Amino acid sequence: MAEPELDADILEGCRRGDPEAQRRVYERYRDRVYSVALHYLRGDHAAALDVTQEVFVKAFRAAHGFRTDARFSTWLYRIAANACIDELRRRRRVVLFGDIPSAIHPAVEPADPTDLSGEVAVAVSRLSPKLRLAVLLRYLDDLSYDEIATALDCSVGTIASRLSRAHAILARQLAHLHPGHPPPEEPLDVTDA
Amino acid sequence: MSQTPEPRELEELLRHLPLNSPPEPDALWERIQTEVHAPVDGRAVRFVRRQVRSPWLAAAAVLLAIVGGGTAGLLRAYRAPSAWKVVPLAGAPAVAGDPLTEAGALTTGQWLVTDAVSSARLSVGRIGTVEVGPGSRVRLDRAGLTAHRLTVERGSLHAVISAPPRLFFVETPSVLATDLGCAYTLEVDSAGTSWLHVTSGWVELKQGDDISLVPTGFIAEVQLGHRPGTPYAVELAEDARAALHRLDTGEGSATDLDVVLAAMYTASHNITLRHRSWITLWHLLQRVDPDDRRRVYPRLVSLSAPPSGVTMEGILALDRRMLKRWRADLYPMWSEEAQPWLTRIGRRIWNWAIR
Repeated sequence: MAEPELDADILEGCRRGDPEAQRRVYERYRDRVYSVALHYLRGDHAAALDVTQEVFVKAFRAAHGFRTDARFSTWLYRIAANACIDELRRRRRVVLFGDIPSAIHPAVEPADPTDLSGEVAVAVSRLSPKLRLAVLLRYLDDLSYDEIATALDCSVGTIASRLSRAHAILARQLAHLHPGHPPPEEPLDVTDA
Repeated sequence: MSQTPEPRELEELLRHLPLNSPPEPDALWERIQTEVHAPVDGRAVRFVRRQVRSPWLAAAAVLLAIVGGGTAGLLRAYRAPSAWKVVPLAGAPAVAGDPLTEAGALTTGQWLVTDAVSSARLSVGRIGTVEVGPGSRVRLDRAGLTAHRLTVERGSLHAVISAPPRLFFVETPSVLATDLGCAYTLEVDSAGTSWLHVTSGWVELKQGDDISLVPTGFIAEVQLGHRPGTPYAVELAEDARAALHRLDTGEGSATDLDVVLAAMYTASHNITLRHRSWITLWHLLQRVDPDDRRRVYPRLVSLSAPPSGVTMEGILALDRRMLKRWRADLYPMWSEEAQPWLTRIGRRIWNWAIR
């Protein structure tokens, strides 16, 4: 179930640039924004921190132009999604140049083999970026298909298609978590395109 | 729109995706607030975002530019009272050779001289103040609505200016410092070497065609007869400062470059720290020989990848447009390309008016 929208007073304060209102928005969304960035960037904490900072700075600077007929959370996730995508693009340029920053880690590795969250995080981190982002917004942030479509600036049908493909891949990858199912053998969809 | 059916078990599993908290959330909040309320960055965003969307709006803006240009021309012709208020803070500073014991005026062409124990505060019109430290010799060259200009022969001053960029100038024997909306300390020693420490905003240092852009928390040195030094962060270690200085003056070695590069932040640091090192390396790249440029460039890329259209070949060849574009990618306020054409015209009219 999605979280209730922010109070109108906080939103109005945020639009006026009131630091107290901004602080409440930050506290409300920081973990979700950070988590989306962290999973999307495959466990790179430093990059996720940068993205989180960028998202809130952009949001607070542009808050005066926020239309109240839209959901604030969807608007914020749209900024977050764009920031994640931009970060990945920047990183590709770095990788193409041949100088891979040491902070880039391959994936979120499970600390405890019995911890389902680690298994799920690894499986999600192996999805292609487009599928990964849709899954993160759906299951980490509880966004509806409509809201994900707004955040990612595409149609609901596209989101449905991406989630359907992601579900199929994840169902195979996570099948072994059910009793009687063997570990996955099929190749993973790891294309960063 | 019907949604794709989701197997309940899979949904349950995906709900296990861990929600993480950023490390040191209060520190992150501080950084966000600092960046959100930084006046320089605020202007940067507005420059980039504002675009003319309607022909009527464009016509109105053209009219405004014409009127503004005329007004600027009138302002250029007009000369405000050519004096600043001067208040002694300690001892008895001298204005035009006369000791000052109470508030007085410093008119254009006059020298303010402080001895080893005296200091004074100048009011820069309505745009700020300048505190002149002990052992200084300062002349007021211009006091007007469109430009304020001082010459510092020796000594120190601390300026706090709240005005649009390029209204307040300080000339020293070695460099011209142009205020871009900021607070800074400038010291000039007996050899004419200038030392700048910016505490807020940005300052441009110019000597001939060479420019250094010095942001908050950075220091830059300029020796007489040399181009403006590479700005470095205040926290830079002493040995790295010395190595940077040798590289700036053409006396550096490969080992000096090693020392400087080792002192820079890396890709694992947060964006604020990375950009601090990026500023230093962006300047340094333009001051070292082609072989050393090849060593500096990858570090720049690792701190902030270049935008599209900026190539390694172009940067290594010191292509001005590419250098500018890369800088503007990080700091859009410097980017003429990022500004609408009307803004560019307006700025040129303004620059002409205040020249």
